[in-house]
Amino acid sequence: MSGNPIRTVGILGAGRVGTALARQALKAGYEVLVATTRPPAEIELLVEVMAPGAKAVTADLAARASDLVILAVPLATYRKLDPESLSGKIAIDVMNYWAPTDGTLAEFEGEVSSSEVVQQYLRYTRLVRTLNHIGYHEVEKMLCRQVIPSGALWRLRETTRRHGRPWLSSWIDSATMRSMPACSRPPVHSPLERRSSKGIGSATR
Amino acid sequence: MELGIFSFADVQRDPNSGTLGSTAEAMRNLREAIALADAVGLDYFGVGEHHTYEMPASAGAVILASAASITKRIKLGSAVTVLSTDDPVRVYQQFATLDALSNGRAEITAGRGSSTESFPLFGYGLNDYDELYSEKLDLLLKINESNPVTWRGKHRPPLDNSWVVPRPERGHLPIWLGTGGNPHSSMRAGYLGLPISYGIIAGQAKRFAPLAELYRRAARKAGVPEANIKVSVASPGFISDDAKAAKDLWSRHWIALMTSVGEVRGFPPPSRARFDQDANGDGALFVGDPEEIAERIVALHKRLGHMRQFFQIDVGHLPQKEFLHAIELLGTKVKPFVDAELRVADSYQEAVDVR
Repeated sequence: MSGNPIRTVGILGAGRVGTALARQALKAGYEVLVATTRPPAEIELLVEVMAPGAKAVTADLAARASDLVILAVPLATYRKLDPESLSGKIAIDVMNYWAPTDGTLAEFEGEVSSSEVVQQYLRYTRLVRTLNHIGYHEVEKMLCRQVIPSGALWRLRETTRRHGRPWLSSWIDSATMRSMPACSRPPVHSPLERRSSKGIGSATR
Repeated sequence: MELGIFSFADVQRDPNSGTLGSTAEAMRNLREAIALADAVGLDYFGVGEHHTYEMPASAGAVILASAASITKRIKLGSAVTVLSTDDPVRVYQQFATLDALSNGRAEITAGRGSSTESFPLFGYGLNDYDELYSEKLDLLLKINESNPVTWRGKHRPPLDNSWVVPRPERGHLPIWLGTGGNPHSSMRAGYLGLPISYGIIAGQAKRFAPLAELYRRAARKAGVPEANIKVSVASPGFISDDAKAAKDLWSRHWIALMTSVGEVRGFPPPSRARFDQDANGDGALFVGDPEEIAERIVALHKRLGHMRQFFQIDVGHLPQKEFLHAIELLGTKVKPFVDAELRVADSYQEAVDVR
């Protein structure tokens, strides 16, 4: 797939995040396939209403027929993903480990990040961790907001503060957090396009 | 359209010393608020199950039962009952008792709840949450449907021709499904024929319009009678005589609440700019003067077609007197405005239909 443009985005998971990303991808002009663990007929209505224009398909087809796959299932169920159909694919991992709401899962309690655990399972998939730091209700603001969400900046600030760089954290605070501009006009590119043109699309194997 | 309040029994903070008031006082304050809501003609009061020192409404049915004896018309419900960590039999018995004592005014909203303190408190794990919730909802609905009950599940001993009493005055309790916006929950409520209650607490309220449509279409597909297809909206809000004063005052309490929630869950404290974004226009925070709030309720109604909206006002240690004044304005000012606006809209629609 090296050098090929990304035309079809497959989204595994039709919850809040999955459907929000499906709508954004459609707005940006991609063909979008949505799948869950249920048969497509059971989520047809959901997809038709929540992401008009996207197609409800099987998880197998969403993985195989897409140039880019987004993994948006509850992290606790990641082993229901099929390594075989995802092999050779670029997949965006938007999943998070959040013990206080999802329960404690031993395999995510170690030193390695949750994406590394998922990557070990999906051995032949090229995993990209992103979009996991944005609330689902903020995903659709991204068309009129800057690429870096305030949550990420906050974490960066907190990290620098903890590591004894108070001047840096206060600079981040004053320079960015308070002045996060809301765009007054819609930008030309969606975040996915932006990412695909710079990073993902140019990735080669 | 029905208007109302919901609360987790926020405790007071002493303005001079900064120390927190007692959790016992919070119970009495909440009962006082419910009595006032009834007196000013509001339709609904919900108590949300919550287990923190700052918001200690852990036994909502007891608070509501106490309020039932000093109120006449207002509907009394849970908003929400954390069904996953309770026994559906016990939940049903408590609300059926409330229903008897209030002459048929009790309702249950089953949901996930806004926090997870009840899981360790009652010895439940979060890992099998979805399965636990489905099973418990199934049992609760079964008890509501008919008596005696015979039922089998994985997480609780079976029921064999068991009576769950008392029985509600009108045969059944209204049982709502509470959701924060996962599309699968809207589908589930639709297919089960349950009324749905959306908790809209951040971002743009109108983004719930497709979910409400999904819910209605799923319900119609399942053959649910139109009268049973109902949408309600729960959102944070505050009303004061002056819009700017309302936003200035309440933003401090909301930011205080979100800052402490964020410390636990790992999100940044919200800024005033962020608050203003959500507290104006189509935002999820209904903060302003009575006219502005009425207009925003009507605007959202045009998109969601909801039949009830209720507000969480007492957050971040809002002084009780401000809470009570907001309740009074919601009943005496906002409600007449909303009723008038919707009557105009209805009669316009009728005129169009006749032509």
